Amino acid sequence: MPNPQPQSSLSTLSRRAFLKWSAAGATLTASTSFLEGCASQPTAIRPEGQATLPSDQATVFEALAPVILDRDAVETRGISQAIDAGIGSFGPINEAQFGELLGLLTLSPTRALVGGLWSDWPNADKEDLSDFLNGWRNSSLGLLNAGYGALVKITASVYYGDARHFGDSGYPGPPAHALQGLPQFQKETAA
Amino acid sequence: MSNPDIIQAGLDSGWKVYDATLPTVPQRFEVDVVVVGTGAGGGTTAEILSAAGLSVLMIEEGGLYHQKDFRMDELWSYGHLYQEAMSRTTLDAAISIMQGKAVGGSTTVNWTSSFRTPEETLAHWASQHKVVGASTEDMAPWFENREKRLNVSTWETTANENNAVLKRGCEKLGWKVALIPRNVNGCWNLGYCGFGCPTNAKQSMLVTTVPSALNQGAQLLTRASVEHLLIENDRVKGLVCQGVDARNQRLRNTRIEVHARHVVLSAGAIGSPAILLRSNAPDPENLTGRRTFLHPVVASVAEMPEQINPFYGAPQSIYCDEFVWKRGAGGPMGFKLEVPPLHPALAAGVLSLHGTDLKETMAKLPHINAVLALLRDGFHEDSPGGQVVLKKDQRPSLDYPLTDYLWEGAREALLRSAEVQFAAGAKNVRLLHLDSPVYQSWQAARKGINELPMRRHRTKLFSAHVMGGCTMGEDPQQALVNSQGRHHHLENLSVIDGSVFPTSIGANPQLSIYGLAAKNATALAQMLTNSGGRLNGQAEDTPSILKKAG
Repeated sequence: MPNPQPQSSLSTLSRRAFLKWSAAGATLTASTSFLEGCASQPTAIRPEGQATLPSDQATVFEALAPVILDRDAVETRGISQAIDAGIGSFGPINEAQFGELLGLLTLSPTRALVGGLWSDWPNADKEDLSDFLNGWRNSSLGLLNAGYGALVKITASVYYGDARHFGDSGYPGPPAHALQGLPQFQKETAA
Repeated sequence: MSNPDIIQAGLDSGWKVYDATLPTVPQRFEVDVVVVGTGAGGGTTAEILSAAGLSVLMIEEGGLYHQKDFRMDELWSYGHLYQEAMSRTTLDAAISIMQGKAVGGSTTVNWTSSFRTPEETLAHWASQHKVVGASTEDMAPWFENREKRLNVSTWETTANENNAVLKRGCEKLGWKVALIPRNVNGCWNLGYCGFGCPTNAKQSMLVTTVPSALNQGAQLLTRASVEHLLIENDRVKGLVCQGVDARNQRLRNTRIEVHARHVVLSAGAIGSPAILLRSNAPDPENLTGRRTFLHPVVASVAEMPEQINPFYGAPQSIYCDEFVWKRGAGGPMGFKLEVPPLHPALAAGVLSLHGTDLKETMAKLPHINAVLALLRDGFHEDSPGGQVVLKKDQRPSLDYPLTDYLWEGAREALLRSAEVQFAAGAKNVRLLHLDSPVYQSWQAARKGINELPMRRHRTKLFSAHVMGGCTMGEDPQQALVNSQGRHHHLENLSVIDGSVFPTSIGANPQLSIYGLAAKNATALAQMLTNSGGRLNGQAEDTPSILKKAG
């Protein structure tokens, strides 16, 4: 399938892009991890504090999070930064593949083609976003299922793993007697 | 009181521990033996070799984290203590792989279940893979030795409610159910084993063999990735490693060279084959990285009427072996039933839901029980296992085929998981499967599950047990290393970890690795300390380590 014209139809999307995308989905499927800016030396590749994802890719998560989590946007604002930090700890290959998937979702022709979204992420309405998620979840294409799993998993894990949201899952946090009795939680001995 | 932090005490006392990403790291080491990896295989090996008076360097890809870092924080743990920050999957993304990456390897983050290798598995290895000296009888003293070393005993404390669900359901159905032996000492029964034991109670390699090796003069190099072995003809001179950035996992431009009389690979079932592949190690039969197994896991979640708080208490204390060997080792893929702990991020991640469904399900987390089925792969010709491959940056991935044989086992396993949950009183059950409705009764579940498509990316698959890839056996046409872990084509290279298993285990593998590692490291120590000791030096009848322990 040379010279793919992504605008024309799904079937003309380059096979190579799909394969790469599949790999990206792979990465996402398992992603439940997030560094919160752990102290480390800057690297040549990405100075500390710099985002992993370009800002237009971060908007994908800002738009999707309220729909995935069924929360007001005000409750999920900033979640893309936590997700970004998580992706930044996956290692170069998984990180790059994640970027490729998000690249597909931010480039308007491919976003429309594989996501069915005609407006860009910040302007997509809830119904469109919901259709997008359901479309990928229910697709007969395994790659779309994997992409769905990846987007949903990282978003849900970052949200519910955040101590500020423990109450939303009825998780009281670590037991009080452990916090009181263990040396790492006492100020004088904490490292 | 928690157990003392012997890591901090050791560091204060001057242990020789180096971080490969710091400028102060030595550029060259010369030792008797370099052990790559500090998990179940490497930790055990390093302790035994250093006790024999050999100079040992342990190399670990992850960091040295200990009690001060273990703050029962789920997301921190996934980011710092797991391979690829918990994003590891098989090549096609169909199976999520949870694997440790820190000093202590996966033993730092596992859930402490400690089973001896099943008799069926050892018999299969002997008959199908020409493994010698590892019968149930041969292995018994080694398991006993490790059980003493790591304080393995059956968990007699009342099971947490999450595990009690499995117990109750099995009893109701008349299925075999039993208590899990755990490697803990003074356990607080908190439920945070997966995040690094906060009390030092878990007898992981981190607080047992690795400190012991360091006390015996061994050295430890952390945050170092072994790039390749230095191979000359049929010998390994040593290896080259590079620092791994703690934050973004990128390789540093450091080059550290290690020269050793003997090299032991204990980097796990993805890591060890990857090093051999990167090194173009001799492999005439093209076996490196083949037959890699995962114990693929499927699971179902139940809403229980009572609050069970699946995030608290010893995470695994009950198991059901009704279906592991029911139709013979070579029959349909059998499975072991267990329970995973459910903390919020993990639960939210594995559910694969969104919108109101996710929100409402997560709100019920204190009432949610999950039952998992660990499928034993590798015992049938239609379960060939995966192939470790190198990606473009030379990092490994696992190409694991999903066969109809596996899917049949998965369907049967999901049926039994749902059945046991309903038998235990579940209000409803849902599978970790994109097509699963919420079943309101066992009758509905049975009918529904029998009709569900078993498909890649729709049936959720997980693995916490990576095994194989450097298969052992006496026939070099079939196996990469011999029954003592010695490479068939490289004179002074051993593989001592779960990668030598010719099949999966059929039970959580840590004690299988400990036992075999203790046996093979003891033989290696004897060979290396006998002046002029040659390759196939046989172990004496009763090695001194067993005499001491006995």
